[in-house]
Amino acid sequence: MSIGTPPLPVFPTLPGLTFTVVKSPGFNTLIDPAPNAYEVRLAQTVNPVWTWTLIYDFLHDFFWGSFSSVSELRTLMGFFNGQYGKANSFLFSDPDDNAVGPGLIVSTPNIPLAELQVINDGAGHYYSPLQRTLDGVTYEDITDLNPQDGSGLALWTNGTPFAIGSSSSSLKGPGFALPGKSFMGLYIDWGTANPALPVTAAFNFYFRVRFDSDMQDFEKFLALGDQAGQPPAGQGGGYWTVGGSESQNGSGTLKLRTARPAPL
Amino acid sequence: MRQVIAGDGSDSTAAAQAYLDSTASPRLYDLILIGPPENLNSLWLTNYEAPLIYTPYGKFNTATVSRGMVEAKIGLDPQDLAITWSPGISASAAATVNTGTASPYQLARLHFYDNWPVLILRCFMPTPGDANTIGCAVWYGGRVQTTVPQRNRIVFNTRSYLDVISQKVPSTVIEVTNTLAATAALTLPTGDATVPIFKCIAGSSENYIVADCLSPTVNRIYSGNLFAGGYMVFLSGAGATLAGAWSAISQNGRYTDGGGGHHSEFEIYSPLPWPPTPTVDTFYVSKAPPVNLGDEGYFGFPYVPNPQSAA
Repeated sequence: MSIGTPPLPVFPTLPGLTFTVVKSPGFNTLIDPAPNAYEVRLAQTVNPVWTWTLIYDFLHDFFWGSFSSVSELRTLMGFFNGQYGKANSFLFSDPDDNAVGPGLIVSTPNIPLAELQVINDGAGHYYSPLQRTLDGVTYEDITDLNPQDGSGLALWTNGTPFAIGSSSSSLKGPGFALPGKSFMGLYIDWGTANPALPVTAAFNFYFRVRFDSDMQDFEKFLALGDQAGQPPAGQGGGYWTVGGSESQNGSGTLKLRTARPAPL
Repeated sequence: MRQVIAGDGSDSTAAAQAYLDSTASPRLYDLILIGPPENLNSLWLTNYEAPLIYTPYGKFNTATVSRGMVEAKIGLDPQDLAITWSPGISASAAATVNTGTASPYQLARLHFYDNWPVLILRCFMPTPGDANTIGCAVWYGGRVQTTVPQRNRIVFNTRSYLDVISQKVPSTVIEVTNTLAATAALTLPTGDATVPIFKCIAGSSENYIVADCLSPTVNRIYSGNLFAGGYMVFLSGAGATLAGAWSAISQNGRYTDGGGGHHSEFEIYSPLPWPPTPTVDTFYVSKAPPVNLGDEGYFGFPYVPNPQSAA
């Protein structure tokens, strides 16, 4: 969530999610080409716009596993309706990409994969934008933490654990600008305390996303399946899919894509 | 090349030129300022994905904003340019009777932004997020002509500053004492050294203002209709609810309250969006600019010669 604002809903984790998962970083570059193949390219974004293409091989529409009061299908369908299609943004924990850390590897700061940069405003205040890196070279701003209140954030200053909130430090954002520097995501305000370098962190994060479409196909492929008369007649039953191996007529996939934090 | 000014105020045109020469993929973003920089209602917008600080001006906030193309051409034709802004979090502000807290949609409906200055800066950004090292060039300047609030956006239709040149103004109109053409911002009453400022009192409405003069002479009541044809502009300040609102003045005079106290009264042509708050809202007034021989303070040649003596 934006620190200090109501939490955003979290996309449900369902057992039917299957392979393949297509995950696509995207940008929007303006290109002016010439006949000689020279071109001028203007980048429009710095942080990627991610798109996930998800396939659900099965969605039980009866009580099953941990979904003992609302079925998987109705959980997902209700969530889609609750976001009004692509209107609302929500949080998505990518099962394969949701953590930064550990802050230390055998007492040694985990550099560069868990390192946070420290910048100052030239007037004695220090800040660290919360970012993650895939390759140790490029960085991406983090807009939302898991848990959303930031309570899961762990910090180390030169290998020494540091409790956020001490020494006038605090977690703020998203959105942060200093003369010469600007970031989209959350950041740590160190106050006037210059943290010992390197600063490393461990945390779980969410991607802030929205549905890619205002309409979503759910496809029933098997009428069997209920448990001791559950669910009641006329309130579900059977197996459904979104693009799974039994799919024949549905549009196929469920797509999520990055949603930026609320602008001015 | 346009002059580029770095964040420290230095001329960085050469650095910008070198940057553009060095890459086929420069980072260029817009900083858009709608309104006077000192006005708290002014809109500081950028199409970059994070807020940007350009030190000579200040902080520009991330916004869903786009603009039309800026033309480069020879001539004096003014250029029209539309800026489209979809307010985000600021759109959630409730409708209020305070220009300081009203939502942008409400202000647009009230024509609050009409005639506001518009400045677009083009930012050269070798390092993402750094609007200062090379800095920005002035890309466009103009004024808001019309504001069109739509369901999910506000369109500011602007016209470049060159429109002042395209006006057909007879040369004889241009006199140094003529506030229509000269650089004087307003017309003072004869004898006053500073602009008269008033504070509203109880009894005011949207188009009828009762007020006491604060300066240059406390509680002065100006002669009847001295400000007819002039205008009043409400000021910002603690608790002000009408900052930036203005209207032409129909007539002014003396108002006597129930206790026999005397105050100034103004009738105005354009109703204010809501009544001023007594003892809080303040405004300044300007006389109508002198345009004829009979007008106080006019000297110079009249625009239209007397037909009897012109032959």
